Parts: sequence; structure tokens; C-alpha cells
Amino acid sequence: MMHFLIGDCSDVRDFLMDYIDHRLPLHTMVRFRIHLKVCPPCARFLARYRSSVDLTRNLLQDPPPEELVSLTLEFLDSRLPKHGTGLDAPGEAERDLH
Amino acid sequence: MDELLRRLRAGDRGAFDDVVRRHHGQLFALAMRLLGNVADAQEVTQEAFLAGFEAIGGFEGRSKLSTWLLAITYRKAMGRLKRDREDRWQSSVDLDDPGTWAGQRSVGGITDAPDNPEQAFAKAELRRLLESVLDTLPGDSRALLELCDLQGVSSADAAEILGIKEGTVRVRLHRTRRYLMEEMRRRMQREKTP
Repeated sequence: MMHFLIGDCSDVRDFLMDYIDHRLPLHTMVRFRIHLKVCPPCARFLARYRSSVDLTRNLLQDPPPEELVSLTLEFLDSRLPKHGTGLDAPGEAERDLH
Repeated sequence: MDELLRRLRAGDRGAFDDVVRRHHGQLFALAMRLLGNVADAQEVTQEAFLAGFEAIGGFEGRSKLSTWLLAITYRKAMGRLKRDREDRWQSSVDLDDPGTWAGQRSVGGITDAPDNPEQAFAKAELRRLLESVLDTLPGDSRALLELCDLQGVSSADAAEILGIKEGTVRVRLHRTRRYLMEEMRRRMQREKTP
């Protein structure tokens, strides 16, 4: 009975992502939290899992390369037909003025 | 109809420019994560925008424009990977193989490196280590990390971009995160050992 109420460690590992994303049904989330309170290894695992995701995010996020945006715009300018409005033709706002 | 989509369909070059400025970072980051070098990633990004704009008439607006463009980028980058067959990015890891997990226990000692000058070297080393682990992952796993953990794309949108089920996205993402966590710990311990 106690086992059912608390859940076991493999349940915790299986439900980890849903728990982090707040996708667990209420009763499962309550069981999950109770298990974390009484199971230090699972609580540590959860903390490490979270910190690992944060670490990846913090280490790998680079600012967007501005000069590459200009290159892409030039590339598209040379490849897209020039029948539209905008930079190469009068924009809607401009046409509205005439 | 969405105003931006209407302008794109009308061939409004200003709208194209707006979309490029808004989404270039996302598309380039995904291509970079898959291809690993700036020249190829930039080329794929350009091709993806071009293909997207040329086919904009077929975009029905049921998904986000960014999701649609990321899906094009993913297909083009994966296509290039397959064509090139470069061993550099050949995955050496099968996350579905139970053997991958044999003998591995929970990670310890991984903490976010404080972003101050004293820790700059340690952070650079950590990044080098992390990228070396990422190099061993299959392309779809790298794409999942890029989309879900770095760009904050939802699992539903990631499923659409990668052309797989949402449940599969969540299982693979979880396995990829765990693998990264365990492998980082293993390599950090190995580097500490004299």
C-alpha cells in the first residue's frame, strides 16, 4: 500500500519530463512529490537533470550572427523575383499615398 | 488571414525581410547544430528561406511560420548530412540501445558555471566538453536539444518540425538529456583523473 502511494524510483525517472513540464495529472504529481520527499537519490537526480538542461542552455546559446542575416538578405534579393512590393518596389504605404 | 502571411503571399519584399530578421537566428542555430560549420549552416539557412518563400502559397497557416521554416531547415540539413556522409558527424551512440545505459548512474557535480571572469576558462572548457558529447549524438537528437532546450520550441511543434509523433519527441528528448547528463559526468571525472 505504501509502495503504491509513494511510487517507486523507476516511476520517477519515467515521469520526470512530464513533471518538469507540469503535464502530470494531479494525483500522479502528488505521488511524485511525496516520493521526492522521502527519496533523496531521486530528489538529487531531479536536481541534476534540471541543472544539466540549464547548463546546456547556458553554454550553447550564442547571440544571432548579425552579419549572416545581411548575407541571407542579399542572397534572397538576388534569387527572389522582383515583382513584389517592399525594398525593390513601392510598398503598400507608398502606393496608398499616390 | 494573418497580415504578415497576406503580405508574403503578395510578394512583399519588406515582409520577406521582416521574416528573415525575425527567424534567421533560429534557423541558423538548428542548421549549425546539425552541420557543425558556419558555411554549411548559412547555406542551408539561405536555401530554407528561399524554399519557404517560393512555396509560401502552399503554407496554410495551420502551424506557426517559424515551425514551418524550421521544418524546411531540418529537412535540408538532414538531406545534406546524408549526402555528405561525413564521418565527423556519424553518430556513435544509439540511445535506444539499453547497452548505452549499462553501468551508468546518476550524474554528480554538474553545475552551471558562474558567468564571471574568474570562471571564464572553466566555462569554455565545459562548453568544449559538452560539444564533444553532442558530436556523438545522432542528428535528430541534436536537433531536439536545439529546438526544445535552447529555442524553447514546444514538443508539439518539435514533432511537426522533425516529422515524428509528440510522444516520440518527449521520449527521445528525455533519453538525450539523460545521455548528455551521464556522459558529461563520465568525461568530467575522466579528465579529473590524473
